[in-house]
Amino acid sequence: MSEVRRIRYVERVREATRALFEDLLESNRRLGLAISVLGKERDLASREDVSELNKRSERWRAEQQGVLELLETIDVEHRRFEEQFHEVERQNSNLASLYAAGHALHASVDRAAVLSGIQEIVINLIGSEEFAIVAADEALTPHALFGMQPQDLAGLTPRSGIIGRAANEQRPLALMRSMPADATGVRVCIPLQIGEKTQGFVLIFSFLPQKEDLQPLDYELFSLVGSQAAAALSAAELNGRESHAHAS
Amino acid sequence: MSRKILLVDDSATVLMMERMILASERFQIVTAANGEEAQQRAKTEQPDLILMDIVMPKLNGLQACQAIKNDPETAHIPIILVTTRGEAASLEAGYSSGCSDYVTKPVNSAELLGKIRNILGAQS
Repeated sequence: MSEVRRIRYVERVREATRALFEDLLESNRRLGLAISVLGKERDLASREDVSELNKRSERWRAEQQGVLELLETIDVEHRRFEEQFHEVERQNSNLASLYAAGHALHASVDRAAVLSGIQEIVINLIGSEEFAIVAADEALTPHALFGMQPQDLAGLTPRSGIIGRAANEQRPLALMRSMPADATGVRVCIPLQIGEKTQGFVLIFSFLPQKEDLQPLDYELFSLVGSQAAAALSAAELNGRESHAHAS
Repeated sequence: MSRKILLVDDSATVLMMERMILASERFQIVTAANGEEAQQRAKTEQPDLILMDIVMPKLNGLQACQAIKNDPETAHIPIILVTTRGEAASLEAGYSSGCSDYVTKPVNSAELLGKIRNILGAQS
């Protein structure tokens, strides 16, 4: 090959190589641009997804919070209804006791039955096995004793301690469990009243060991016995006298 | 179907009070005034539960409880005893006679209803 031809060939190869190199540079630039555009698009898309997910998550969280608040409200309502239910049940039970007590006092005009009715109230509804039903005379003559002997009442008068105070005030008086009894030993004194006249007393000396302190129902029962028992006993005594008169 | 409860007590006042307390639960109530009658009524009425006082004439609550538990026709019936004494010895005597549970006087209605619901709930 001549020198001139060799130089031209080298020139052509150099030219072709430069063109190829420029093409490669251009392609590389385009690829770079494409990658950059795709990268931006990908970033945008992922930002949108995260934002959407965040929004949904916030919505769910708010809904969950709402449901929790609703559940709490339902729980509070449930507890309120439960308390109301127990209160109604308690009142129903108290009314049952008072009704039964009233019935025990007035179901008969027989004196023994009335005294037995008073005993049933004190034993079963109030909860005592040591008590006396006595007349309001100076010796507090016993009509009925339960768990006690007549000598246990020796020395007591209608003016002694809690008995005297209850007679003066014409209302039942009771000592809380924590309070010591006075010299009479009486823990509850119920004057048996007809109007303003005291006909007798129910004297309670102790309560059953498992009985907790006095409850509002106990005071209702004291009051019922105080206001109803004397009338029931008087009616029974009148009936007894009348029956005796008829018989003779 | 309403559950049947046999109430046993010689005190009409207590029977009336218990009947009224249990009325809110729509139980069918039958009564007996002593242990002997309780034993017979348990056989004929086949109640779901018996609520029985201990201190009673003829056959007391402990004796009646034992008799009911010894009779194959009535042995399955749970019995709650009502006792005036809550001491350990009294309760031991009650459990030895075969009772399922006990309540002490004066009867606390919430406690009584709770025990009845427990026993009848466990039965069903």
